[in-house]
Amino acid sequence: MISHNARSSASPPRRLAPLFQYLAASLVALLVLIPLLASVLNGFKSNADLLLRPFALPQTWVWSNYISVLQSAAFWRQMSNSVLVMLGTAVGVMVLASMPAFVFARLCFRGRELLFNFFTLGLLFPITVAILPLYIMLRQLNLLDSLWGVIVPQVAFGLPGNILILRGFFATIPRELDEAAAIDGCSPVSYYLRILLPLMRPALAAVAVLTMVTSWNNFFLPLLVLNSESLYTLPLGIQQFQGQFGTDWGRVLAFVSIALVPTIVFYLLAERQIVAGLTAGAVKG
Amino acid sequence: MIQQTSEADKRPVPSPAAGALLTGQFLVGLLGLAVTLGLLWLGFIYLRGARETSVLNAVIAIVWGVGGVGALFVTGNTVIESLPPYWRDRVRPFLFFLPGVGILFLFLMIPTLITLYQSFFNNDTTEFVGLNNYIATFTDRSMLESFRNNLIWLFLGTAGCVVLGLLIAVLADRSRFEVVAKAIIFLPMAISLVGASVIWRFMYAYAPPGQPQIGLQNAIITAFGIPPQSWLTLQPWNNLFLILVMIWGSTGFAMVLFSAALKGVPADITEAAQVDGATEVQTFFQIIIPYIQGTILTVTTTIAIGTLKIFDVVYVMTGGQYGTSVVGTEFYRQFFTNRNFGYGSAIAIVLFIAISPVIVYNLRQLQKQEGF
Repeated sequence: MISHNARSSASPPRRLAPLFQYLAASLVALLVLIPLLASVLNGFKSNADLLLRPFALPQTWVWSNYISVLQSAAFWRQMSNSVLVMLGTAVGVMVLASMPAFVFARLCFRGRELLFNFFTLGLLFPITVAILPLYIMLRQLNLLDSLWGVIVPQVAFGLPGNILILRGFFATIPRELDEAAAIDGCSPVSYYLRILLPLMRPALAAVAVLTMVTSWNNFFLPLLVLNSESLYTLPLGIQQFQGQFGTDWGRVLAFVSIALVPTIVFYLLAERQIVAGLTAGAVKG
Repeated sequence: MIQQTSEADKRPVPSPAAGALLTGQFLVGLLGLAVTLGLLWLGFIYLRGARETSVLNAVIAIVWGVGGVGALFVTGNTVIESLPPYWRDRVRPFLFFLPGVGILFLFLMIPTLITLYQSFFNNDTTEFVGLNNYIATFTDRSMLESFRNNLIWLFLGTAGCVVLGLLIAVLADRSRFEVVAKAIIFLPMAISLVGASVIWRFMYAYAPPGQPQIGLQNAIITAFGIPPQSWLTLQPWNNLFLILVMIWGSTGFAMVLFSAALKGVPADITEAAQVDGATEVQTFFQIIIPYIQGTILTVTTTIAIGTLKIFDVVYVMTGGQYGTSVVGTEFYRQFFTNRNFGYGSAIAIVLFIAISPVIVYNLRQLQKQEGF
């Protein structure tokens, strides 16, 4: 086995390594994929088929599980609720996080460090700690059992981390640009809107994608805030569907499989942004 | 470490009439600000009342949100531009801040403080009980069980994700299948833990002996003649099976970060080591690991926080029964099932105190790396 690998070509003893690499990687990949494949394939089985041969390919491909999910109004309603919450959260986070991030990275004023510490302190507060008073506050604002009650707290809880990420990105833009803009008579606001934001597009994309995925998969907050089934988001829907059709595994797995498709497609499309965002958030520098 | 405010940073702001308040512009801006706020409030009232999620309402909401923030920004800026330069530079940053600070205060800081307050009171916050809730937290049997389980999660879950993530990152690094392998292992990250939990419930499914086993684990062990097990009720091992779901879902996160860090290890260092006769293993432990230890620490702490906050997996798979409860599910039970607000608040604060050192440490690291 000849390796094109730069490191191993330098040292002959690594000849064996690629074989081992292949074996290990295939094993791990298999472990990751088996549950997913089992879920998708068993969705295509009748219950009798599934009970008798859960690990074979479907004997006859039964589409009814998937079709019944796709035809159910509840599924599409949950899907659209999830999309609305996701978009609302992403827009909110992008607008509200990029502005303070800009100020922290660029403008100098009294109390900057204090405010920055205030924001980073926000990272300390896991949603569980704030949830009951938050719940009561949402009730007073009449936001309970409405999608806003999910969106607004999600934006609030998304701010600290994303301000941190965006501040790091703003800091990478050369300061000469600030001076050039100032000399040309550009006010900080138009400098921010016309010059920095367009330059920040990749960073904003990373923040948006991460926020969207987090929102899409969020379970705890919707579980508390949303009571009406008509407002359920997909994770709540999955949980409810499982409770309802507990042992009808074909239907449950079909439902889960379909619910996973949007995020998986999204991930494959936006993997670069996600990785960029994760790396910036966790290992700056 | 803290960057000094330097004179060079104060950019000269060109102004038409330096030093004077532009009264006309100031008033127009102020009026615009008031109108915008009024419209935003009306929009809020309308949207709050709209229970239907129709396309029309969604469009209105987007126009309301984006347009509202934009209008606030423009009118606020008009007001600020009309101020004398001395005030302009001092007030302007707050234009960028206020929305964020406001929402953070309202939905995060204040609720947390109220939680702290309530943790010293009884069920319905009518009677001061001092530290009783905290004493109960550390003596109650079900709470102690949750703490024990959370510790298991903390150690095994974190170790599992970090070790596996690092191993995969190293194995896949610069190999021909790197892109494919990484995409596959990253895949579960896209799936909500709720979805993952449902899928894994199927993997762990149990049928009495003699009947066909649909769960993969039971099918495998019955093939070897071992009687099927009800994995999710098998105390105390069921905790491990729940942790496995988290590891399945989160290893991709660790792997991605490690992979990026490995790319940053300069090839000449490792090559030099190998020229000097270091083996692969030696190179790995004595050069690569120290080189990426910053990343290892951040990944470890991030995942550790996740395990301390774990809720979804346990809630969906066992509901915290059969000895699997964790602080998150116990808290949910006290708050929303038993309506025991004081006790629930105390649990939340304990969770907060447990997590904060890890986060403070993380922030310190971040600040050090950024060098500000």
